[in-house]
Amino acid sequence: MDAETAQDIRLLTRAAGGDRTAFADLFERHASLVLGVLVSLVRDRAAAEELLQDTFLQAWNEAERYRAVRGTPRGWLVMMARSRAIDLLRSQGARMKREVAVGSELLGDGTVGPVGTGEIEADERRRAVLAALQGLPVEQRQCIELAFYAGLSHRQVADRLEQPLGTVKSRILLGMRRLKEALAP
Amino acid sequence: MADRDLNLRELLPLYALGALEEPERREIEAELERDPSLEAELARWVAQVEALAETVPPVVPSETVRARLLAALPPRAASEGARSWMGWAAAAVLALIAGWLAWGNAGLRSELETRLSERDAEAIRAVRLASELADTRARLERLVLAHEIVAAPGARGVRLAGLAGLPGAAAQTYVDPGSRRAVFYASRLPPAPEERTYQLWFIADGKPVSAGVFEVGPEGEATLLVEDVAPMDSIQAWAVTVEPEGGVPQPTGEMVLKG
Repeated sequence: MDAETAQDIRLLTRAAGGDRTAFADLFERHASLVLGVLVSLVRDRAAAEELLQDTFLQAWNEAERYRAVRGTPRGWLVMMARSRAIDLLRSQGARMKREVAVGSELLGDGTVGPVGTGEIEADERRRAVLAALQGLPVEQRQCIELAFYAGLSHRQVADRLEQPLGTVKSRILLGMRRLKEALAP
Repeated sequence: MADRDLNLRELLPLYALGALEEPERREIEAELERDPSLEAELARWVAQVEALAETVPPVVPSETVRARLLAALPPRAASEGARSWMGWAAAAVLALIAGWLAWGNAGLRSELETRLSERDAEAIRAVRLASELADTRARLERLVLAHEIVAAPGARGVRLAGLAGLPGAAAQTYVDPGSRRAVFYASRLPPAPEERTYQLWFIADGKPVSAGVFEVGPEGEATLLVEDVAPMDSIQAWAVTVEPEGGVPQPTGEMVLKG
């Protein structure tokens, strides 16, 4: 386990015991990443900040139930945030607005790229992940990007690409496997 | 069952991406509770989603959001209890001191009362904090150790299935062959019967060896860390039996999980 994850687990454990300072530290460490993910999904700063608050409130309430075997605290926070944003998109019909926004960003090959990549300082890790994504066969990359960056379900991806559901499922599975191999330490 | 299991495993990356709809999403969540071996596999896909999240530009939240969140955190039930207990204890100490001081010099009473009550409140607080710290440290050490075992190169998982007595229960052990330590996770276990306990065993070279007794949490979950397990190749099986409180050197009770 890397030192950052060990420190996150330490903070989360203290938060589970009622330590607000430790929880505030955890917020400092990951709120920007989580808010970035939320803004990219819901495209609305105010709604994203509401979701950020809900996500961390859930983390506080469920800190005791966190299990290291299911992933790092950072991954746990990202999963909770994405799940909330996706629920919102799917339940409130925000999809229509989102689809328009995503549609305007379609890349030349028909895929949806990470937002404003060029504007941010690309560190080594980010470059490695982007390179791994670029290295995927285009049909696998399309499916993963629509699911990850646009929050589409496999059914919605299948509709969008006019492909059978089974094809989309296996493209996502194969793409994720390749990504895992490419990013293995 | 094997096909269904395979399908569920194949859906894990889609679940991690948030690409599943109901009822598949709920089915995966139920299966994760039932089968701890899926959890470690899910962690590998969550790591990919975490990596994808790093490709999105971070957005710094406003100070208002941070302040609003920290103000909205509900108090922990346990620390509230501790506080009220502390308040009660401090009040009792103060009452005793006040009673005693009623006999003493009125001029010194006020200052002495303040100093003594401060000292006693501090002492009570120190005892409570030391106990909380010890609990937190122990829990943290267990979490870190469990994570190290599961993530160790060459770690091997064995799935235990509930037997006739507990068909809904499931468990998993992971052994790190390097450190010869193991971690055991179980789910959907009912509390052990009165004056009984669950005991974990590994069968090495045909003989059962106790790996320790364990308690079941409020949601039917249990975790046990095991030191000095036999070399991985000599372990033929893992099992859980129900034994008298405190455990026994050789299994005597009903076997409820095996794998």
